[in-house]
Amino acid sequence: MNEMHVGRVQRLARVLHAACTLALIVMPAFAIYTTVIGEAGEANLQSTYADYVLPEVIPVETVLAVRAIQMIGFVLTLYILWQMRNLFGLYKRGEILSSRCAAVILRCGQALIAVGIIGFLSNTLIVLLLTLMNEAGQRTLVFTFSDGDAGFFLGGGLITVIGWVMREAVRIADENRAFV
Amino acid sequence: MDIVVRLDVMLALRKMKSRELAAEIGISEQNLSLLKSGKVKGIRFETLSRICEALDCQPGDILEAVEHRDVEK
Repeated sequence: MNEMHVGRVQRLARVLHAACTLALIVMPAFAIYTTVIGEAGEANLQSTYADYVLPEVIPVETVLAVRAIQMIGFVLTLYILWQMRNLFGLYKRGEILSSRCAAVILRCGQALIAVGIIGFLSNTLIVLLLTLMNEAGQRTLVFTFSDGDAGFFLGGGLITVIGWVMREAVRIADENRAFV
Repeated sequence: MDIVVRLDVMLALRKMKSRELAAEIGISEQNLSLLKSGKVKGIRFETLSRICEALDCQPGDILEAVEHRDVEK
């Protein structure tokens, strides 16, 4: 890669590194804020899942279980952001074609696939949990695969493949460096 | 068969120092040293061509194919 291209990658990486750092601060802070002001409580669940027949009072344990399930996807999203920050940090320092970059790209891709899968499973689990207290016949088992889940799954697959390709590119570059 | 680099011999014959050759062909002394000791996976045609030009020799004067046992000796 010539100096001009490396410079361009470094410049963009600097901006994206800062954006990831900001997101890593803002996202948890926003999550804490919504919990503190009560937006993460029972009323919020009642309105979000209003399409389903829910019990009049959702037990606290169920609310906590639902939030714990949602937290898995949230923590995974933070993990992806953290990995992206690491990747842009490497790019920022001019380390572009290295095994460390390939490993980080692979981890991003795999985590994105996991977000897609969890997005699909979590809705099923949450609706089942919320309607479990209903009388027989009013309990709901839903399977929804949203555009977002599909996007995460396909995007994650693409990035995973790019990670594998990068690993091969690094191997070839290392081999090339052994030539005089 | 193994490929042995005879660059030392040609440098001695031409009374040229490694540093001068490295500067003339545009590679680092470190890389030239690695090449002389045979600790490289390969040599690019471009580098070989420049060495031949600088030392006024043929690739066969620099590279030699020898039996594996001869190399171990």
